[in-house]
Amino acid sequence: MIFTSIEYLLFFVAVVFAFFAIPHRFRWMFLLAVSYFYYMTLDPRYAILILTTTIIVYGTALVMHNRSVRVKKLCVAFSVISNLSILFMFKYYNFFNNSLRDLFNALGMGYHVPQLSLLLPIGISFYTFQALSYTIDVYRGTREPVRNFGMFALFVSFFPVILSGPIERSTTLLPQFYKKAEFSYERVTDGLKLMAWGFFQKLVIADRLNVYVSMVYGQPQLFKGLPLMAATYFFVFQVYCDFSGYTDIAIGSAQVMGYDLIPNFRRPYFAQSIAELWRRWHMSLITWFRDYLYIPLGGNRVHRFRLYLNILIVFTLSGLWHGAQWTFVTWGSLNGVLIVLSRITQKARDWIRGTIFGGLARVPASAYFVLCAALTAVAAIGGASGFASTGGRIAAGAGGLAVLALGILRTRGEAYGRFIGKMQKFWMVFVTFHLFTLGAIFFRSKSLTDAWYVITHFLGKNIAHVLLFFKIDDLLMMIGVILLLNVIHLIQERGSIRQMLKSKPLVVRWALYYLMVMGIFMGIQKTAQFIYFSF
Amino acid sequence: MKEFFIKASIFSFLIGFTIFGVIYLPPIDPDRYIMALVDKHRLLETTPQPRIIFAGDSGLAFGLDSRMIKRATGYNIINMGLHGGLGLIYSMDELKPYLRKGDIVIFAPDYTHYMGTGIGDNTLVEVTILFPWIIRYYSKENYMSFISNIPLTFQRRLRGLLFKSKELSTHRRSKFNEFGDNEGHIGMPQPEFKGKEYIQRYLPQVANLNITRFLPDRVNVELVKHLNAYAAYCAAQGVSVYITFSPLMENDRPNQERMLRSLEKDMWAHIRMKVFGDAVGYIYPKKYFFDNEFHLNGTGREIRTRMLIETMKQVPELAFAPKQQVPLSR
Repeated sequence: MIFTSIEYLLFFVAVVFAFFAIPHRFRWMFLLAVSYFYYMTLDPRYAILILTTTIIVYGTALVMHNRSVRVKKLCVAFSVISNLSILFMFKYYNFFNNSLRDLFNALGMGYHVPQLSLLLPIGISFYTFQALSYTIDVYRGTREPVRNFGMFALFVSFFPVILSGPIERSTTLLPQFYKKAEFSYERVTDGLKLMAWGFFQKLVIADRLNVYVSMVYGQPQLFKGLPLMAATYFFVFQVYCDFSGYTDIAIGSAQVMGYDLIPNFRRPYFAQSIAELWRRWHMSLITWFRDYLYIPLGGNRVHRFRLYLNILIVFTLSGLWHGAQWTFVTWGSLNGVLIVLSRITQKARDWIRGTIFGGLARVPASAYFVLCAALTAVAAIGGASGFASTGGRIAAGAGGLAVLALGILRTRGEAYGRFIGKMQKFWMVFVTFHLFTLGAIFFRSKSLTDAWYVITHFLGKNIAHVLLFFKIDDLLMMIGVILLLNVIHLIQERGSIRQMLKSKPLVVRWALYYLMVMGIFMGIQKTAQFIYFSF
Repeated sequence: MKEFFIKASIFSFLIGFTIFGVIYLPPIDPDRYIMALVDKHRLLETTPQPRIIFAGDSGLAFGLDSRMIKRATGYNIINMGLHGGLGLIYSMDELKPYLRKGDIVIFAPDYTHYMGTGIGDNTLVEVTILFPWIIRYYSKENYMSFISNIPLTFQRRLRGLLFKSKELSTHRRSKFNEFGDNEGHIGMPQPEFKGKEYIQRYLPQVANLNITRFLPDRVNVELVKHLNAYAAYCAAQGVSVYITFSPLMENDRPNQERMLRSLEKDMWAHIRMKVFGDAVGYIYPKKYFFDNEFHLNGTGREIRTRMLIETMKQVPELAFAPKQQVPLSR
């Protein structure tokens, strides 16, 4: 029962009705029952694993409470090792076993450790990390252990977050289960609007882009140039909308019932550096790694080289968390390397940027006008003299107009300064986005060989390939939804759209909600599995 | 809470009205291809015994000469093949109210059906525009598909309202004959379709690929259950039910033969319908196909029907109809 199924909608409506109908003291039991039911609809066997994790974490937290440091250490070690062992066996064993086999074979040595045929429970990485945060918090003394087993089991299995997060903290989510949630018109409608936006992102944008991305990345060797480039850019937006859409549905579902989940995304593609992008992307995972791995490793308060090593460790492990494949490990490591490089080159890049954009800020208006005149001359007489082709003349003419606009803007002092500032910001966003896109090739590729093929065949303009399997209007629609997403993000950068709408008349609001829901119906594609379910 | 329910109800009504209004209210071209369904149901009602009902998809509509089969066997023929999007479960369910003791049903679905579970797609919603009553033939699996395909049908209907319909002149209700065979394509030249050669022009690498699209080597386990349940139902009603093979466009023949042999073996082993015919015999070159790799042209249709008759002759029950025509009764 995935979020985008009819079954989930029916389930959710029934749960919400029942939730508000029953007394507060029984609600946690009800939510626990429906959360397990929800999870077991995917495969009843999954319940055994999540229950095991819950019992281990709950038990060790109770045992370590108010005990000596030694006992605490033993308990936390037992909890962490046993939970990570479960995760390892189900998710990573075959990956490491295969890798070792390849290594031994390459060395000409025999290797006979068998593979395991275990099912990979959906959401195991998410709920394991969520449960571990509780163990470590109790160990650190930042929270008391929970006495009520059922309440703790609900924290681990709460249905909106169980499959793909956000990875909640016990300090934020658990206390909310004890508070009585009243029906609030504002909360319920806000939650529903967020869910609708999540559905739009997933069904209209991500699933639409998925059709193209899956085809090209399914067998990238069939393509070169523009189709690979288009599929890669499409994928960057697909993966965002897929996961962000899921998160919005999760947060909205919880909000309707009166629970606040932590945000997971903050328009990451508007980040001006890779480090900032990672503060805006899958925030619940990154803060988890920060709090439970990066800081214990010494965080920023260590020698420079140790700091770089810490960053590399965190990002490599975050890559591995995403999937038991070398492509994910490479993706994580690459992001770590980029962040380390950005730190090393910070001063040099600041200086270069300052020189270029500072220099641009000081260019006199007259220089623009002279350049404009020169370009206009090329456009006007270039053809007659054979100096420029038709395309060149058009480009020169357009360039001339742009330079003229800049010259006029320059005469307006402050406005020109703001423009140069925005240009600098745009440049940083542009570079950051493309560095992330480079990593995304590894994220999406089925193997390192495929990823390398995509990177080495990325450039080209063979447009016929792009249109081979798709009509032009389908492709335009794909580009259209990406533009729409970015326009919405631009507006969101200025403030919450839901808050902005609250001040508008009812008719305007309803018209927009109506358009959004109809937009979902008009743009919906055959739904695909959420990408992050695999993690 | 009251305010919420009032507003939510009004909003839901607006959305529901728009969706169902766009899908169901605008008039529909009476000569649309899918409208042939009503004629086919009439045939089921009125065709006397002894009769053979062929069930399948558009491959059957385009690729069967029922008149030739009638001449060869003496059976009255009904060709129910129309649209693959309806799914095999629907093809089985829609016959149920019309089946009579002594009827013979022959399924000849395209191989793509064996990959899926038999559940239909948005065509399930589209046919209810014309025949709302048809929903009573939907099984529970198709109900879910029906609901989840409402948005896609809404999109198609909206596009149809905004832009002129592009249905081909060969795909019209009026092109079906009195047996339910589409004859609109007979004698028409083959239009260009996106086969391997087309793709190869842009991607030469395709030439080296062993493409066996639409060709499974075994039948989906879920579908086997449905087929067997239907076989049991037919047996209880005194209806004989057979399954045979559909045409396949030649493309990497050794591989296709290998897949078909495996599929045949799986069908013999698991499907409790009487399987007859030789799948490999139905591999035809591209020149026998019309507008895609499912639809035969006139020549292909004739060759396929002859081959089908040959194989039917080897099955005593199918070879010749009983002499006396049974009057129409239930």
